[in-house]
This record gives sequence, structure tokens and C-alpha cells, in this order.
Amino acid sequence: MRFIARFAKEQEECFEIITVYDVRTIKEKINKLTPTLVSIAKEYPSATWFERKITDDFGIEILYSTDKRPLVKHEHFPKDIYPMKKSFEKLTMESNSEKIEKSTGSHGIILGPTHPYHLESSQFQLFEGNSEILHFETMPFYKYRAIEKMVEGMSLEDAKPIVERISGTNTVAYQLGYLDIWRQASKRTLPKTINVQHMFFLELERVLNHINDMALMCRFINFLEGSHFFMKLLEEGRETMKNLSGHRFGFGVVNLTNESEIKVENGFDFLNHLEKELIWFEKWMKVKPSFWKELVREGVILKEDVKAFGLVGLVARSVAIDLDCRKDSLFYNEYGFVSASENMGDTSSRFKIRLTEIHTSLRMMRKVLDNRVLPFFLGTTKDGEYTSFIESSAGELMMYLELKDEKINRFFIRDPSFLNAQILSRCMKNNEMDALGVILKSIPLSFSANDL
Amino acid sequence: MLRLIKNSINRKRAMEKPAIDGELNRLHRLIKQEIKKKFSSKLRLYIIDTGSCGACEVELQTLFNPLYDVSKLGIEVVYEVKDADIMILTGLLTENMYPICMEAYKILKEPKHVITIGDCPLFQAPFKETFAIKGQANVHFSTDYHIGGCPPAPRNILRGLLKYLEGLS
Repeated sequence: MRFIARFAKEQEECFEIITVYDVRTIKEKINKLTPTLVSIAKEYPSATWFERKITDDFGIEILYSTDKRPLVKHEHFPKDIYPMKKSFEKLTMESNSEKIEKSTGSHGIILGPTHPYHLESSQFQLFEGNSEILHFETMPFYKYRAIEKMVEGMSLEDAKPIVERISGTNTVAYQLGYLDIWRQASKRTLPKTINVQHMFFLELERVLNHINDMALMCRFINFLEGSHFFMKLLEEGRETMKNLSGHRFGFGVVNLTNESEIKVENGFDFLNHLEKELIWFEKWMKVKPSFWKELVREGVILKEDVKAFGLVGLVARSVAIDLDCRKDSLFYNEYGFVSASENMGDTSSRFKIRLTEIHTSLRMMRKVLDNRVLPFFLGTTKDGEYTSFIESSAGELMMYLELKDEKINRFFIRDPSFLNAQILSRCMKNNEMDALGVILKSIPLSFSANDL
Repeated sequence: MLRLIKNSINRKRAMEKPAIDGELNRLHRLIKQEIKKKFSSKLRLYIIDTGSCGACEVELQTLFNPLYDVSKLGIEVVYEVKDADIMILTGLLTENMYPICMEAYKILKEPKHVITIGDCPLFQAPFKETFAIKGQANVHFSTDYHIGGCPPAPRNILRGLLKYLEGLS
């Protein structure tokens, strides 16, 4: 079974632990007086972070866990606060003035939360010897905004602008995941024209994120021409997104109440131009082995680790694991979707997959221009539990939402970054320090989505 | 030999600069002048993400792309706050970033220049109060200038930066 997520929610008489796998979801109830939960991290290593978060959120003790450190609560976070419990309603807190000193030993390096390896605040702790990374650890949740708590008690309508802004670079994927939950709760089916438009913007977002990642990977191997080349294309792409959706990132693009149309002249030129430029770049790289030399065998993620950690998206596809939410969709297949695949599991594989996926996205996007969408109303919603899965540019994005009295009772997100951040310790080990930047950039990582 | 020539042609093609319009040209010229006058031709920015969605950081990064190319104006990003001329804040001020932010503000050399970017630092974005958010950044320490937007487009950041620099004595 592939492990997807594990989280808790509070009910009147007990806590309910929901463990989501690909083939089934297991729900277990634990008592509130002495809440304990048996860890599954031995079999599913990426469950560690989920379980640490459950402890921080609800005060549930995890049995047989090898890592019980706080994940969400940093040193100044007040002790003995379990913010996801219904009884916790405070909007402010007194910071804990007792500071715990970190000790990393004589060779430890702490990067961040502000550092050149990632735009967003995050901390990496590593040990190196002879310029080789011996140990690497990610310390997330610097950007913890308590989104899950924030939206509790809100209507779906009111929470929408918040969900849009969980991750700026994956906003379209988040909007679509959220819309799918809303659609399920309304027991409606969206017209094809709407699905077509949404697919276009999701693929455009994927293209832009892949271009951004490739630009940064080029920068970290000092291939400035490559970085320059991709940055130019990224800017053209963002302007195209703005011309087509009204926003450079696509905020608010999923809006059923508006009539809209993708105009041919605004989109087609960019798609054609991008395709031509990529073909030119690929031809150039065929005769530039020095480029691939920088990427080959760097940051290898083994297939068994991908399976053990339940990794998704292009990280999984880079070791020939055919995992993509789109492949089983009749709709996507109708538009010519084909999964990308590489098999080395290294930085070069993750670069090549991005190139292939951009071509696939462009092919699908070209088929959907001149698509006119009329307003559509979802109507009233039914209370219940709903889950959605969207293939974001980073991989499978899972969203869970429980509606009670038409208000959000529990909201949970598992972004692919939550898994990818945990594999960094394995794929960084035994690589040169010089390769740290390019390996990091090759793995999709959004701390705004991870930290929530 | 032929391969070398081809590679050189390809590199030149990859490095081709996009055309810039009159306004951008003007912004570049004026910002460069202000940086020369007031910061001895080098303006060092320390960017601290205190809890953003990532979009503001991407737009700040965009300033260094071939179109906006602010590095030729003398602007660079530093990763030690003691080396910075201006501290730039993006995102909601989270509880977990608060002590780091306050420490950075203490170390920032005098006169302390702080610019907030995006709607989040002043709580103008759609987010609601939670225990994990400290509130408006300018309540906790002195900020000099605000460039709003969700996120502000690179051109708007440049316009705002110019206005701020022009206002400095």
C-alpha cells in the first residue's frame, strides 16, 4: 500500500486518527483522557512528520516513535498548547521566553531560515567532512500560519481566498483541489468547458514552475546562460498567465461565477514560442556534455526510498514509478496526456522529466484554446467528509475537508513538499557540498505549502 | 573547432537581452542614480520571508531576471543582515519567525531601513488572525515604506523602491 497522509481530528468523545493509503483509508478512535497512538513510521518512514505534527496539534502521544521532537512548535512557542483542539480558541499567545540552545557540534552548519539555497524561510542543519555532506536535516514550519485552524468555522466561500494563497506558485492546483471538494459536497458535475479551462491553467502553472526550477538549477551549476534563458521564458510565461487569467500567478482563476474565454491571440504565440525555444535548448544540450556532467549521479533518490517514503510527482517518475493523478483521467487522456518517465533518480533525471512534461503540457494546452466558459453555480452543499487529489507541478496534492452545518469542521492538506522535505536527508548524504543547491532545486519544495 | 563556434553562438543567443520599454528604462536610470548618490553605487538587500505564500519572493527574484536586471543598477541580495542596507519583509509575521525577525532588526545597522512588500505584512491579504501570527509587522518594529500588492508585480516593486529612495535624505 502506498502511504499518503496521517492526521487527526477531534470529535466530542474522542480523537479520530485518519490514515490515508492509496487503496484505503483507516480511521481509528482514541480516548481523550490518555490519548496515545502507535507509530507506523517503521513501515512508512514519512509518517514521522505527520505523527510529530499530530502530537504538536492535539497532544497525542506517539508510541514506538524514534523521533518525538516538536515539528510545528519552535523554541519560542509556548509549551503545553495544543492549538488544533476545539477548546483552544486564543488568537494571541505569550511567546516562551526560555530559549533552547541548539548544539550542532564542531562541524555542524546551520543554514537559514534565510539563506541562498531557498527563497522561502526554512532551516537546514548539516554536517560535512572533506566537503562531503555527512548528514542533512530539514527544520520546517518557520512559516506556520495555522491555516487549518484559521478556516475552521468558515463557509467554503469565505475560506476560498485563503486556500488560494496557501502556496503562491501552486495556487491553481490548490484552487482546483478545493473546487473538487466543493463540487463533491454539492453533488454536481462540472461542464466539460470548465474542466477544459481549468486544465489549461493547471498545465500553464506546471510549465511555469518547471521553467523556474530549471532556471535555478542552471544557476546553481554556474550555467548562467541557461539560467538567463529560462528566466526570460519565465517572465514571458508570467505575462501570458496575467493576460489570460488577470493575475501573474493565477490567483482567482478558478471562479465559476464569471464568464470567461481564453483568447487565441494571447496564448497561442507564447505556446509556440516556448516549444521552439525548448527544442533549440535541447539540441544545444545534446552537444554540451559538460552540462549533464554537473547533474548526473547528483542527489540520487533510490527507487526503494521513493516507495518507502511514498514520494510522488516527478520525484517518483524519475525512478520510473508511474505515479500521476492525470494518467487515469479519461479527460486528460482525451487531450493526449502521456506520463513522463526517467530511471536514474538523480538531478539529471529530474531535469529531463521537467522538459518532457513541459512538452506534454504544451501539446494539451494547444488543444484547448478558443474555449468559452459560461457561469456555473454549485448550489447548496451536503455535510460530510470529502477528499480531492490534484496533480500539481510538485506531485499529488491531497486535500481533506469535513463540512458540518455547512461550515468547515476540519481541513487538512498533504502537499508533496511534506514528503519531499523528508527525503532530503537521504538524497543529500555523500554528495559534495557544491551540489547542495542544484540537488535542492531539483526537488519540488514549497515551504508555504509544507508549513501551512 | 566547429563545436566551439556553435557553442559560442548558442551562448550568445541564450544571453540575448529582451527589449525594455521607456518606463523601465527610466526606472533603471533613476534608481541607479539614487543608489549612486545615497548608497555609494551598491544597495544591499536582506530579504526575510516571515510567512508568505512564496509569490512575493518569486517576484523579488524576478527583479534579477534579464528583463529587470537590477544587478546592473548595483542591487544585490545579502544573506547576513549585518551586511544589509535595507531589510525587506514579506509575508505574515508568524510566531516562529518573530524572534528571528526581531534579532535581524536589532543587528540591522543604523539608520535602519525596512520595507514591507506585499499585502501580508500589514494584514491586508485575506488571511484571518490566528495564534500563530503576531499581527502587523509595523506594530512590532519600525518600518519605513510599504509596497502593496498580492503579490506586487516586479515593475511596481521598482516604482515603489524608486519612490522610497527619492524620499531618503
